[in-house]
Amino acid sequence: MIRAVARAFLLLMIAAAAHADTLDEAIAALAKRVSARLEASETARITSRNISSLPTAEVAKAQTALTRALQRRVRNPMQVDLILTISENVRGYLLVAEIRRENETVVEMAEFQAPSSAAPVRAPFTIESKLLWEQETPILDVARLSDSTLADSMLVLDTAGLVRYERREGKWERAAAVELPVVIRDPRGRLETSADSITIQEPGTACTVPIKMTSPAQCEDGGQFKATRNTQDLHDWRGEFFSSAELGGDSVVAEVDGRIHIYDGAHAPQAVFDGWGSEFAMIAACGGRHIAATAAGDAASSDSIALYELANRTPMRVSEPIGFPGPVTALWPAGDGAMAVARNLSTGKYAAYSLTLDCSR
Amino acid sequence: MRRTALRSIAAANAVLALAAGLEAARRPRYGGELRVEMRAAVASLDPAVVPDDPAALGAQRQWMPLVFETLVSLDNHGRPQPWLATSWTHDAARKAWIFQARKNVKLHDGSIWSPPGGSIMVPDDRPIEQILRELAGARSAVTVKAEDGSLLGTGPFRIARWEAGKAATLVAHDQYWGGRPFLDSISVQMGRSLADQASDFQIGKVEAVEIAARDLRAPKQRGTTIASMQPLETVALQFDGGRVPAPVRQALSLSIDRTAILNVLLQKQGETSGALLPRWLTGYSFLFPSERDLAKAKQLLPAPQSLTFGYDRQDPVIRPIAERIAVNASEAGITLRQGAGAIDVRLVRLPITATDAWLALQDLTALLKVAPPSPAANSYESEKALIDSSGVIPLFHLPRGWMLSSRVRNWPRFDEVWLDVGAAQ
Amino acid sequence: MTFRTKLLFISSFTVAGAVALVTGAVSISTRRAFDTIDRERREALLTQFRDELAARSVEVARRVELAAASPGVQQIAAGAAEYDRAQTEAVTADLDFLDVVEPNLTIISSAHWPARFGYQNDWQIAPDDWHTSDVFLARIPTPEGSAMALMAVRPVAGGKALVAGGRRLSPELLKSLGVAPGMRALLWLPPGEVIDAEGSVRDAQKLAPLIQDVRSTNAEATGSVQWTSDRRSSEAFLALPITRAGTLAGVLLAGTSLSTQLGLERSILRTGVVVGASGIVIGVLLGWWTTERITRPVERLAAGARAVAGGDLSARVEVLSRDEIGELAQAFNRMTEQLLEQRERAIQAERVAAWRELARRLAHELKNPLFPLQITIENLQRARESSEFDEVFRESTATLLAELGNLKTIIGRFSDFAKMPAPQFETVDINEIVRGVMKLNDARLKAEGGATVQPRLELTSGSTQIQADPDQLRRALGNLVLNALDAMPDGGTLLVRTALHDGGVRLEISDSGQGLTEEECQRLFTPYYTTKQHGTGLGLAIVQSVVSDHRGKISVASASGRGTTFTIDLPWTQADSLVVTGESA
Repeated sequence: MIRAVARAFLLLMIAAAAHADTLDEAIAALAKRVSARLEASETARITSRNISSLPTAEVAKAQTALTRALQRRVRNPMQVDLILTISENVRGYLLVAEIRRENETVVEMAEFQAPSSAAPVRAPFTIESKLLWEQETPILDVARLSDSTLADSMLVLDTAGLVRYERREGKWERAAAVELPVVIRDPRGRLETSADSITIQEPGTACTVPIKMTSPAQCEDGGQFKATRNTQDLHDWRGEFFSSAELGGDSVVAEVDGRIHIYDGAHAPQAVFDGWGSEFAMIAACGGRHIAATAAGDAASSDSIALYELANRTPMRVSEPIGFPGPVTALWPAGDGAMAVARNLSTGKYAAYSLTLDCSR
Repeated sequence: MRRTALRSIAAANAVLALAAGLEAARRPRYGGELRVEMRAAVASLDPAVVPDDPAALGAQRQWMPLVFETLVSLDNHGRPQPWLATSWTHDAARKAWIFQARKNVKLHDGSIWSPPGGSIMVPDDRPIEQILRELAGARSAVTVKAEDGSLLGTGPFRIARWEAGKAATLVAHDQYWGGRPFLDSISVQMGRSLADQASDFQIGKVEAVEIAARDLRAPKQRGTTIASMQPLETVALQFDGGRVPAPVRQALSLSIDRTAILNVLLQKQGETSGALLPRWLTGYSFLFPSERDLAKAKQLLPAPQSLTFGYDRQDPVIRPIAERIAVNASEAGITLRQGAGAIDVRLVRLPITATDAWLALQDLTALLKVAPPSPAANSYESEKALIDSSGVIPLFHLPRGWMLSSRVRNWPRFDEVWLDVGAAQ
Repeated sequence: MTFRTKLLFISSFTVAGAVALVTGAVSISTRRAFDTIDRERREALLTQFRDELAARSVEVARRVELAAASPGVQQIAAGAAEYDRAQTEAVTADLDFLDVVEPNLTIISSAHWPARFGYQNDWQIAPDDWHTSDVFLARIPTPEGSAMALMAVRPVAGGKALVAGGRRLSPELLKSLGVAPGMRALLWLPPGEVIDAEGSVRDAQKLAPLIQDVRSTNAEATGSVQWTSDRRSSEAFLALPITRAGTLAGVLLAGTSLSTQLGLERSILRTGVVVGASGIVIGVLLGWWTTERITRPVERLAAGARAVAGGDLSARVEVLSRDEIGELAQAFNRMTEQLLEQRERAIQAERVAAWRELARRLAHELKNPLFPLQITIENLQRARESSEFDEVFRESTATLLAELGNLKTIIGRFSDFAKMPAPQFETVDINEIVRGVMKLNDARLKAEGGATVQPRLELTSGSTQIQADPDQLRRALGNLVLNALDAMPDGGTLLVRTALHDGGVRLEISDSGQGLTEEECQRLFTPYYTTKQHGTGLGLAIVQSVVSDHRGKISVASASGRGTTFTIDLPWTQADSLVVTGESA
């Protein structure tokens, strides 16, 4: 019963949206009202500002349209300031025109619906995940080595150390290992490989081993992870943070307050939002740059990763989320995709996945 | 604003998803009693009774639709949707509207709700938008008086026990026209302070308690969920009578550093505003100035002023705001002092009770004891007139926050809420 | 003042003076002793306070240092804590005040005034104090007003922030000092709060002059304050400035109640008064007994002397002792006896003299008429034989009858003088009597034989009504007028004046005659004494008798060639005399 009612509700809602004013119609209605408020000798000098989620292009369009609609030929015109504000409310968008004279301000408004805002979000991308490795010990990072001299190798960094596996006869077999124990709650780590060496970042330490791992690791204090913590600290303007990515000149930082902060190129704060987990990674694929982010859940619940883009510094989901059987404990860029580690709440094991984008849709 | 819009859109999408059968990962479970505590003490859910206490009014508007329904309901976008009336049309003379009653709607005593002729005539020649809006308001809820004098409703829950201002138990209406709710019952404890609610939650006595806006960001404990709803409360300064001259009120408003209070005391939960209604509802709240101008405030005051200041000292949200306002005001030469007797200015929380500006203003005018807005008037003009006539100074719009047991699903749609027995406590 | 009174005063003053001196000396000694003890106690109290303040300062510094090093405060400094976190940290550190501020003194979190975050910490202390390691007194603004506190400032997290913490300076600090009974410690804190161990001090404005003294000199001062109208409420204070960097941060006052001292002084005074009064009483009694032994006989002697002066020569003084006073009394008695004998002899002699004078006068008066009598009778004897006997008989009998008439007149005058009656007093007007007598003598005044006497009356306008015998007064006045006329045979002026004088009326009769010599004045009132060729010499004696009967006085003033004035003073009333009321004659 409820579904029938809800379907009716849905139809009605969509039907209402179809009859709502468009931006053009709203501009026309607003222009008419504003013209009625202007004196015969007055002309409007329009400035605009956008405090809605409407894209910048639409705003410029609105201003141009209103300017054109209010054009009039007046001898010895007296200019009055008109501030056009595009705002937003529960019903849709709102155009607010403030005619500011010396001793009074007159306000006119017009509402309109953005056709796309009422519809469900379409997801242009699909994330594909592939299991790379699973083990009992918490996995910090996994990297596939493409160096032909090492055959098909995979590096697995976990809380015990670094292990290199080689694929032999369809199975992964342990080939070399370096002990680098991490005794910490919520441990983090990162692998960076070059032609001849591997850099291991762990909380409070950065170690280097030869690519073939034939000699012990050379470690020194510091590194990108803060000692005895689960945060990163690159000793720069970001301070301590969980994750960070650069996108479109902005920096997206998951800070220790649990929120996602966006800073512009000058490191000035621009926006803050919630809704993501602490792990995200920038993926450059399908002709663009996107951020794969976990959901804002906790370690006791299953997790998901979805792809996002930023529109006016607001995250827009551009893929369906993919689920995991437990919390995602690590998410790193990897090539043109990402590497995710999740804990299986049922089995307690840690599994590493390779994430790639399907650009066909 | 944008994330608020997204939130409302997401909420709408969530509704859509449910309605279209796009279930979440787990299916809802029937049964269980949801135990809730709240600060407000509501005397009655009778739609005709409009409480004087803002908190009680807000709570009443929140809970009343569970018991008493309207012909028309507002969706999350403030648009009227069929509810107890399935359609409406005007009569031949275009002087009245005829609303078709939904069929097979059972009252709480099991009898059929059947208006004469299966329809309700509303003689009114105003535009239908205004009529629908009014019919969606709480005051227009459908009630039927039972033989024992009690009120019967059609909502998904019926009142099983009511202790005015103290406690209530709502039990599921098995024959609800929209399908029995998942919960067997909801038990509500009223008049509980935030501290008491928190401690009851800690010991597992309840599943849902209110939290202060500033605590929305606090680290949540294991097994809890923090739910925040878009700003549903306006914190404002209300002046009693005409004792305080307009320049003093204006000076006080200009002296308040709203941004500092929002950032520090409210932990950026909410928004500053000079409007009574939040931006998510109207979109034009920015037209009401709210910036601090201490120099202008001092210019408006010919001499130092002293006003008696009233606020709920037990309210952990209001009290620090009030203390900070007193510090700000002192810079402009206004002393806000606590005292007995007549109170010149109070810091109050005004509820936003509807997703329609006019309906919300109607309730606010009742609280502020001024004339209600004209249905034909533009909501901006009405709000402006209300602020000017009552002398109220809006300060902030705060979200409503709840701390929920992890068992609680689909909060805050009470007809959709269910308790997950598998979730960790 | 009598001798006895003088003696009593002297003895009283002697006793009172001695007691007053002793009391004063004891009071002064007592006061000095108290002052010394109190001063020592107050200084001890001040020392104790300084020590206590120093100890608390060390404690405050330690707690603030601990707070600065605590994770909570460091979180606040890093901006990672809620705005009111300082309240929790203050409780943990057991501090009343705890402000965490940025280096520019912007408050990050304040324990006592959480709402002031973001504001400058604008205490009334110098900016340099934020970087001092001393513990100092400061006035901290609070939502309720302000409070004085012992404060310390320490850097946090290597100077990224500063924490200022402290403890309120409360009456508890003063309560912790052990003070002797009757003493207390007060603390004056700017701008004008005064507290003691119980809290705010009432009527603290009475300490204002003493505190102002300390403030202006920045040095110790003493003074006392009387709290109520009862002097025993007074309290002596020693005030000590509490300074920091040359600025007065407060004043410590050590007070001692003066009620015990004043009570003791009052007791001493009371005792002195009692002893003095007792001494005076004893002195009076002793003096009275002493003077009784001395003055009573002297008084008796004085009474006896007065009696003798009053004419009672029979007065005798009782001799009760054998000392000098007794000898004096005996000598007095002997003196009065001798005086009595002498008076009697004098009276006797006067009587003899008066009789002789009377006999002489009588002989003289009688001789005149007797000689013609003898001549006449001899003429008759001779004429018996002659023919002219009838004529001689007629002339001789006429002469005999005239001379016998003269004899009768003379004898009548003497008789009148001898048997002058007792006066009959009634209310009479002297002025009227004067006018009556002058009218009666009007004819004589207007010349007999050509010499006119000009009468002048100068009668007072006041009432001259007295109690007198009008007839006798007229007679006396008439005699005086006649004497005056007799003294001006060639004419002159007769002045009669009346005047009011103390106790009665004065009557003056003045002539412008040739006057009297001194001897004549002295003998004027002796009976039968006269300066006239003819006259009995009784006129003035009668006048004197009348005046004496009227209890008046008469005197004469004269100088040769200048006339004579008789002055008679008569009293208003005649006490103890029979007053006849009726019309005056």
